[in-house]
Amino acid sequence: MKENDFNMTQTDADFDARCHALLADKEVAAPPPGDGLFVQAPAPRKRWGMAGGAVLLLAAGVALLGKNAEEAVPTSEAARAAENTEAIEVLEVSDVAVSDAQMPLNEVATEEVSVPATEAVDVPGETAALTTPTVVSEASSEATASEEAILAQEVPTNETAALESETPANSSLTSEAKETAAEPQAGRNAAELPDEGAALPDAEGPEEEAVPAESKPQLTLPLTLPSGGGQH
Amino acid sequence: MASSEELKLLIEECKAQKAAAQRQMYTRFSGQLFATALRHTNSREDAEDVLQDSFVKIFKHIKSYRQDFSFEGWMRRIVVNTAITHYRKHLKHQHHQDIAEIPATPRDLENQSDPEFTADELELAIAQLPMGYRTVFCMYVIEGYKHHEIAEQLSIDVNTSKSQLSRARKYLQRVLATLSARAQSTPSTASGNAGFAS
Repeated sequence: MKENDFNMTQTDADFDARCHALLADKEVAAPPPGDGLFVQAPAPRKRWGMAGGAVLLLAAGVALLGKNAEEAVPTSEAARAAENTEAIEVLEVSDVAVSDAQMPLNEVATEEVSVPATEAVDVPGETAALTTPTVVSEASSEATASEEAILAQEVPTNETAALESETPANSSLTSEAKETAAEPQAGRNAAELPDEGAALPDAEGPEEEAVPAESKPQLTLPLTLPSGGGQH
Repeated sequence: MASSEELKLLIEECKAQKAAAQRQMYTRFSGQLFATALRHTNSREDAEDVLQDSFVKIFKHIKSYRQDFSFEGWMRRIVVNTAITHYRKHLKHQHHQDIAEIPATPRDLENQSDPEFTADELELAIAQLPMGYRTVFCMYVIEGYKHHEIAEQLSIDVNTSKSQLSRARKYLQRVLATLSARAQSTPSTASGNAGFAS
């Protein structure tokens, strides 16, 4: 019999069949299962709970992102109102400055003293133009809050920005003007001084018409302004 | 033995990863699969490792099982593959032993024609085979693999699978004939063993 004869004989087939019958279905006592062999799938409730939690987290994240975006780019009316409020404050500051500066200007016009007035009128043209109606509104009758609101709404945002940039100049002007105005005011009595409320009636101001004629001051604007004044 | 409907239900529950069903599956099939693992390993410890790893794979991949195949056969193939992988992992620690090194006496060859043997004797004889021969014999004879499948699984040539099967078979026939001859030569012991076996 050759060793390399792989052909199966009938005897070999019988032998294989007998071996298969003896061992194929044999069972041996198995060891107990190891730890962690049986894995329990997460319960459906837990799954839903986890999904709900994930959705809540996602919604909170989206809300936070939206809030941050709103804070970064103000586009709402609230943001506009905040800007207008700032504009009102700026205008009030410039009003004080200009009215203080114009006090000596009026006297300069009457007394024809040009030195302090020149300094006072050296206001940038835009500022003077923008602040003039405000002065009138003050003069008309201690402008009410509603009128201020209307005024604030009429001031465009760009002008507000310009005013904000020019506010330091106005404040410096205010200090200078106060210095110059202090001397003439010291020598005057109250009757000579024009009513501050009606200091500068301006023909351009719409509020001027609302002011009653009796309350108008008797002062007249100088026809000629000192050099440098009124150049726009 | 569970009916096919019960087995289908059990499989579906295992697919749903229910721990109770997995435990029931282990209880039902672990004995049979452990016997398979023992035939394909060198020690009981290795067989326990193979059984554990096999059940992990079974529970993990049970969703890929299709009903048109035998579920037990599918599981046994997983056990065999796991045992082969385990053997390859530990191959460097084992000495290769060729089946030609195992001696056979002329008397054994005389009794090889139609030896009588039991399952325990057969398992004992199989356990004496070198690992490569044992794997080929068990895969072909017990698990029902074809030679090309064995060759693919073990990364050997088909003719190598055929030759190893032939040699393993001859060796087992000789060993079993020897055992049978020894049992016949000692009647008292043989009758005692027969009585115990029955």
